[in-house]
Amino acid sequence: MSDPAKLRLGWMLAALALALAPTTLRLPTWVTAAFAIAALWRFAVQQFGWRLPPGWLRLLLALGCVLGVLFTYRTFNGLEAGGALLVVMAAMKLLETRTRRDIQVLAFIGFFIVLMQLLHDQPVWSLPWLAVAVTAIALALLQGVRGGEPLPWRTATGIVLRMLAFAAPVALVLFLLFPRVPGPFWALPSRSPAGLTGLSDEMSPGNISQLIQSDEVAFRVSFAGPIPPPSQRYWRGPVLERFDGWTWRDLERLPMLNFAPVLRGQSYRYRITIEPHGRAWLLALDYPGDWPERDAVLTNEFQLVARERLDKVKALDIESWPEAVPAPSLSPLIRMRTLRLPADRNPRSAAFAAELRRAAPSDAAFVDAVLAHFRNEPFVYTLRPPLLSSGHPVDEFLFGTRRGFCEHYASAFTKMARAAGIPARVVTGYQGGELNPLSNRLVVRQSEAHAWSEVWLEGRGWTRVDPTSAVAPDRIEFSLADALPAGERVPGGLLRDFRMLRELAQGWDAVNSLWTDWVLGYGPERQFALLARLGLPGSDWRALIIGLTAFVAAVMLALTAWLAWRLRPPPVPEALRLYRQFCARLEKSGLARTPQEGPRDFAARVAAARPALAHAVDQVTRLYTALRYEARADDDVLLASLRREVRAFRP
Amino acid sequence: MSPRSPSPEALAATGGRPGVIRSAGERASTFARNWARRRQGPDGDPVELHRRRIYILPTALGFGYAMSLFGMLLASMNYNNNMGFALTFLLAGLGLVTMHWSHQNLSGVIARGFRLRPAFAGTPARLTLSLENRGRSARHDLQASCEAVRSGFLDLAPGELGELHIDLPTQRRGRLSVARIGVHTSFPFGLFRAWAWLHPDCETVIYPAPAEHAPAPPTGGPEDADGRWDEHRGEDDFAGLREFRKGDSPRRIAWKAAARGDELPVKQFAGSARGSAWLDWHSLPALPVEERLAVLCRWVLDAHAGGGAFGLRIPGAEIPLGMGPAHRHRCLAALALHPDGEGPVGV
Repeated sequence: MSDPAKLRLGWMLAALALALAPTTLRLPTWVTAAFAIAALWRFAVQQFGWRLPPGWLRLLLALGCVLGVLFTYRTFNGLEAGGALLVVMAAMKLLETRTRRDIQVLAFIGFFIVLMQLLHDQPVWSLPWLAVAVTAIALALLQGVRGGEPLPWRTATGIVLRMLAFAAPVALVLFLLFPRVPGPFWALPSRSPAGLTGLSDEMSPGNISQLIQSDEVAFRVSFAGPIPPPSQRYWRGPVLERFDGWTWRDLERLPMLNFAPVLRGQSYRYRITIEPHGRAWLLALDYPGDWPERDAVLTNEFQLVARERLDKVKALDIESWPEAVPAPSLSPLIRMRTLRLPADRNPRSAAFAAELRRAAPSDAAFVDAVLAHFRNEPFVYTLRPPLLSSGHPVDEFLFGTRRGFCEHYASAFTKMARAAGIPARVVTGYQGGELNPLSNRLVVRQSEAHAWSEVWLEGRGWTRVDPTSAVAPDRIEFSLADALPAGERVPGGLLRDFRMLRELAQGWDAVNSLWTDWVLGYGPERQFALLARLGLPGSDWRALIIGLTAFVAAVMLALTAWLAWRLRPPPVPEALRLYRQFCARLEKSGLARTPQEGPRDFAARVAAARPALAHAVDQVTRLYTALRYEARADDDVLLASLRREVRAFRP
Repeated sequence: MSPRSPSPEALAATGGRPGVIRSAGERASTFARNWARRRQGPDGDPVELHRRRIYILPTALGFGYAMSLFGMLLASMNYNNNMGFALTFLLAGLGLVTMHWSHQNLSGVIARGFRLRPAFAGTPARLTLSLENRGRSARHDLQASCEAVRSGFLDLAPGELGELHIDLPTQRRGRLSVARIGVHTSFPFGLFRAWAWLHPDCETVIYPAPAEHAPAPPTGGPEDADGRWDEHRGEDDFAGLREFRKGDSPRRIAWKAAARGDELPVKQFAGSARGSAWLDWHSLPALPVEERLAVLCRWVLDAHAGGGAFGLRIPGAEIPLGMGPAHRHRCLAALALHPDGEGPVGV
């Protein structure tokens, strides 16, 4: 690979491949293939001296690729389609790469490919990957635009790494202090929901057990102060009120009616950091009494809802009161909504509920009777319930299969409560969470998704009833894995069996939560907090700009100083410096040395013009020439005498 | 025109971007150059490219880079994506560092040994300069330019000295002076171009282009049947030996004869014997001035190649009989600076 053009192309191809590597997993196969073929083709052109494809063929291919993207995504808008378009553009550009300018354009496309990947996904490793990809593209650009032969690999890498070493602090300062303007400027096309896992706004048998298969983190919580016991760790998500006999759905939201929970008992303050799930709801411990009004509202169902869709990590400071009394009175509208049942579905369970209610002295007694029924009859808690296939799924579950998961129990219980005339609804969310001792945070995973019931009892208001706890109390007190029958496993279950693996996993999670908090969740609040800690005046944008300018200027000053130091000229030898001093003195007295005059000629001229000086001049000249032009051992002695002579020299 | 303004020959080679923008841009850059010239004053030899005389501007690629960064910033803001910000800011930092790097790559370079060699009109005149890196780390991609002509690229290791050549195109005879030499670099990424302007005292003469077909000189040279001068035949006719004179080619020394005695005999040939002649303006028929000069130029070259002594007589100048490269240059320079006709250029 001695051909410079081939080297340049090779560098750029390697850099682009590196930039593209993480993207290939989610690009359509044909896009990746198109890029690979174009790269191989272009390389073969260089290697075997083929001709570049003619213009009409390139145009045809480009048109084909663009149509291909349109056909695959039905749009050019959005991250996925835009990204695919970028990659096929890079492929087409490769096929016409001839000059330095083309290499530059490829480098810019490479930077955009990196950006696209970062916009799509930001795991912890994306930072090192970013550094490596930028280094590779910068190297390829350096070699590509160079006038002379490509530099040796080591030299070029050294230059790029040194430049990045100075660019990094600038980037850090900009990152910390650059004003973050909130909100999108143009509508973001919604991402395909397939990529995101999380609760949904409806629940039918099978929904949540699907979610259980995912070991992804749903959110993390750090408590300021005590951590609630496991039995109180109910994280409220979507509350579902409409039931069609099979599926529970979220009703359209009512305007906020004016009844906040009556706060009492102990409260917990915590910061919850929620992974993006593409919907608006938030999660909070029952019952939130204090939250950032700017970011969220509380619905009638005591559910916190964000004002914007969660497309990025969101952190909220919330205070919750588990013993609060929510809604001491019930509005007729809500009563109506939470009692409605489809008349023609699940008749058997309705009759059974009515019978139980008649036997019970109160609503509370009815609830206990139903729970006792679950406990005493052979109900089984399992992740693999048999499929319910009839038109009366609740009946089929209660009197037939009797094997189910939290959603089956919550659904059946709520349905029965309504049939007995008690207002009831299904609450979905998460239950539990694992405390990571390294980060001291509660980590709640998708596998901890849960569904339970809420019934309205006279005098007590909305009361949480978790029918699952009647069947599998371990699910609530310990964890999912403990509640499941032997032989059934949850994802990541293996981790919990080995201490070392578990600690590794906890360490990794701690890194992830730091990453989420400090990098992905870094926003205006953190910026101002940082400014305050740096002692910059006030927390306004002006302070940000001042800080920004000052820091960037400082880094640039350091860079200039370092570069100047690296390129500093060698020191002037002392002998020469002394001789110049000597000449300067002679010049003052009217005898200037001409540029072409050697020291001895000059000495002779001075001796002729000023015989009085002859001896001293001769001494200095001898010493100087000896020091400059002869290699001797006694340089120090000579230098000392030259120093003395020059000091004493007064023409 | 000031005496040191760019010569028309060199300007003619600039080529042209047409249009209004060009004239406005040209005017701005002319203004900037003149300002720099006034600010810096004339340069000696050597010149240090001090940081205060290095100018720097983004290139088209640099503007493209800035636009890309702006796009990335908008995208990051829109998606409210911190990793997008991280990439954008890292690249912005890299851009800033590039600017300083380009500047320092040129700062402190010593330029010296400016030399402009004579040439025949129509052939390029070579401008040579040396750059020295006194710094302790390497410098890369240094380039020199004069008018629109650029040299190759030069890398300098610490303490190294290297030469750059610029071949200036010429069209007409006359005096050619270089008004301004640019030394520049766009290392490392081509985002910025740093440059320095030098105004050394550097000039030469452009000889007239020699005529392709010339009549024989009047005093007669070796002629063939067609009346053409056959310069090769002259070399063959050995005519005898004479004493060595200063300026004789060592190839013509009769070494065998020299070994016998203590004198240096030089071989004389018929051609050179007969070529010792006066090349006279007035011996030519009434041709236009430039054609006459072209023929005389051809005669001078042929006479020099012939090896004999010759003299040149043109209106306003008479160069006595002589030999050797210096004599050839004197004669050609006299032809180049002949005042008649379209006149001297670049003076």
